[in-house]
Amino acid sequence: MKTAAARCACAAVLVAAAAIAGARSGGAVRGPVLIVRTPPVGEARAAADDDEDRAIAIAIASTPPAERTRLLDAMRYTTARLEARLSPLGTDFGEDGGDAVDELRRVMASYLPTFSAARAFARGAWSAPDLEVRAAASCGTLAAGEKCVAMWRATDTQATAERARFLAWAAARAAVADLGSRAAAEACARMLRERAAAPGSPVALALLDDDLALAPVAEREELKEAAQLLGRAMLANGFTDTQHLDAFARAPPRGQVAPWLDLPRTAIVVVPRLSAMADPGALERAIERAAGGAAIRWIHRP
Amino acid sequence: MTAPATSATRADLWHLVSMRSRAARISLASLLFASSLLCAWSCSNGSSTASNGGGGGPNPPVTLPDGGALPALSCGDETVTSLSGTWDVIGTSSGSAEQTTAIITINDSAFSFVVGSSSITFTANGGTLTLVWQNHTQGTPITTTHDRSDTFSLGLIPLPAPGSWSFASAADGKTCTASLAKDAFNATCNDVSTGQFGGLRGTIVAQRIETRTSLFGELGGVWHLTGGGAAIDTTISDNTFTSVVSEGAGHGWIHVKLCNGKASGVTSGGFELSATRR
Repeated sequence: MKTAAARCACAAVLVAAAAIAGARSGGAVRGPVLIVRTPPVGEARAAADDDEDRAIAIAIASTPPAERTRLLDAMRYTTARLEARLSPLGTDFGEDGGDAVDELRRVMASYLPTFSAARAFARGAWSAPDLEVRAAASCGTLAAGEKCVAMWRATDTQATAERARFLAWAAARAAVADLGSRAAAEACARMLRERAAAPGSPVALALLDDDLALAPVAEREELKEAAQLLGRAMLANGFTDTQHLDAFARAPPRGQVAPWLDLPRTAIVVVPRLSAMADPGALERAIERAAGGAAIRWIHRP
Repeated sequence: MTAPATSATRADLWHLVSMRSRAARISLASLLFASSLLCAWSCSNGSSTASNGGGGGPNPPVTLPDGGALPALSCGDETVTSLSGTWDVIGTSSGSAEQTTAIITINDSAFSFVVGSSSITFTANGGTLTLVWQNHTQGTPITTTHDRSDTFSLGLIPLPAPGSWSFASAADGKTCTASLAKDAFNATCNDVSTGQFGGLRGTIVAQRIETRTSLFGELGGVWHLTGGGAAIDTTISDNTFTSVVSEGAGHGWIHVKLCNGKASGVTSGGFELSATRR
């Protein structure tokens, strides 16, 4: 009798301990997750060059080859015009089309939604005046004041969790689809990328696992050289870079983007444009169209 | 290549509506005036499914100066019955990897707009109006008066904004006056600059040149705004708000759609925004 009571008490203690440990590590929340905390104003981590380099790397990877060529042409053309202005013998023959840098900005504007989504996705941490959120593969051990909420499985509709998912939109509102084969995933990504630059497209980024691993991209070296020359020409003409071209001009980064996401070889992750995240159905339809009849297993349906 | 300017980060939300830096002053006026999404210097109760301002039939689409069309915006359920509540806003940024966030609270007696450590807070308690501008170091009370002799419907905007307003800061002598009538708006400031929220020096004048049906009552229509050597045409139509630079400051536009508890926006410069109500 005593032995049975002792066993029972022991089990109760173990259950209680497990419950306490679970609460401390985020309980039964399955990954990926968002770690949420309310920081004092100004405590949030500042963005670093590394963040920007990784963002530009995945943005370039998600840009179709024809668009990368267009971007390269725009940089070289702007450089030529700016250099011509510095020479007493040179003439800017493009002046009728407007200011060289303004024209470049107009070209870059169509890529800005992709760059912006890439920045938000690659960073993996977001902040508002009263909230700080970071993505993680699992809850792990939480620090004091931290809370772990599901990134995707929105069973908890608590206000803080909903706010965290809104703030972390590039991760929390991204769709992850398994196309069943590598070829189907690549074809779907290619199709989505072709359509991403169109006005009104809900798609900002379509990424494969190689893209998240920052695999080399064609034209990257050419873009780097073109950005370096453009940067010098802009500086010599007194212009300040507001397009983050400096990230193009640096060496391609190494590492892993979104380490919280274990993306299968046969899957794609599709990040919506910020302006499109309020209508997740549009993103889902775009992916289904791009899949071209291939069976989709949704790892996360937007 | 020069480093990104941090000042661009601070001004990002403003850039969403300013389109071109030279048009900033007039764009501020446009925002203040059209404030259909953000603004509710409110003293009355209010949420309704108001409409009107224009004649029958669907509103025509806004055409850009180059003949182009605005991109389609989709934000879900377009049945909008109220603006009241607390809204989280995210805007993309060109000057930083950090996206810009803001919190806007609107109800029948208060309005606040918080970006980083700066805020504007308005409360109406009976006949007492309180307006405070707060930056990261200090709060500045602004004496506010409102002559409510002119009244007309602003639809979902739960405020008696029509009439004449005056704002004066005892701290630095800055003043503004503004008035909103059925077909006209004007504002004059003596070099007011708020950093995060833009500024205004001089006068801007707006005239409604066409009426449209809108969720915002008599604000519905096409408004031509001039000031600071630039001009903007702002169209408030159904549940959308569109501003297009038409003269003097290059070309640019912003297009925002309001849905049920959500909003989306894009600009010609590639900036985007999204808002959701808690």
